[in-house]
Amino acid sequence: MNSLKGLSELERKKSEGFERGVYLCSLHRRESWDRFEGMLSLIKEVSDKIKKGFLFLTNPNRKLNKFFKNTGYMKMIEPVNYQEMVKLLINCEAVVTDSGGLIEEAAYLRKPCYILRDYTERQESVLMGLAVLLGREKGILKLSFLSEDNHFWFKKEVECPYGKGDSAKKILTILSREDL
Amino acid sequence: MKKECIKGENLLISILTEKQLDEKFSFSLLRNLSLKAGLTPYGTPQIFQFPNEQVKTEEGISGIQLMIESHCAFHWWRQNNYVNITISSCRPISIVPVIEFLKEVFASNNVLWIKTLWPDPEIY
Repeated sequence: MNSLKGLSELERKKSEGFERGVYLCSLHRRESWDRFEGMLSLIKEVSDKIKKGFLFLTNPNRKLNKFFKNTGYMKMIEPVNYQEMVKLLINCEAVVTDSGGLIEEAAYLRKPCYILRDYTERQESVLMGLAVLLGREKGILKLSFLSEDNHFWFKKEVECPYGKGDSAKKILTILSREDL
Repeated sequence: MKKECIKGENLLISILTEKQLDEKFSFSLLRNLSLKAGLTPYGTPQIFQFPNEQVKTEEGISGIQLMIESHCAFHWWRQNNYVNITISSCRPISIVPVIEFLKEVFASNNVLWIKTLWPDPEIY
């Protein structure tokens, strides 16, 4: 969160002209590998229906690359470094992922997050209305109505449950106490 | 001798309404219903439209929201203009905000409810 806070403040200023309004998608979890084809096909169905761009960070695993194809509203790019990733996050409309860390980053940057798993360890996001669980099968199609009215379910006003990115500062303050 | 036992409530609600439900409304209904009841939604509401590939029945929508305190669920029968809602909780349910909310979102004054306690005082 500390590095995300610093980078997001920096990148927010520099990211003019960057691809905006897309759904940033990351599928990498090993448990999803045998369902990639089906999941991508369902996401394509959604993107064709809502007519929004879905930007995929392809998986570095060669076996999976064959499933990623630029088609319709779906665009694939190579994995990016963290700084580029923050730029993408700042400019995207929403996040679609089976990742864990990305859920936290989406919460910090106030981006609606669609989780393509049946369960997440980051229950805080789901409980607080920052993310929804869609599963890895037909539940993905719910993305169509959940994205209506600027993601009507999304509680933008709630505080990020993963911190404010000031833990390093707090640690430093505690460590510099004379009584320690 | 009976030991101290958790005291829970079930709220059963019947609504007559002309409102035509869809997935979006159902999702919002379940999320807000648990919050209006003063309870804690857990996870994402599950919505099922009928008939579908698996279940051939009359037209309607069912939905369920798990809560830390238990669950709330509803079913809407399109042809009967009827909605049935159940809220089950191991903590007291805030009934008035729930009923006011339902009257508003279903644009109906035909909202009847009954509360039962669990475990039944006759048994425990």
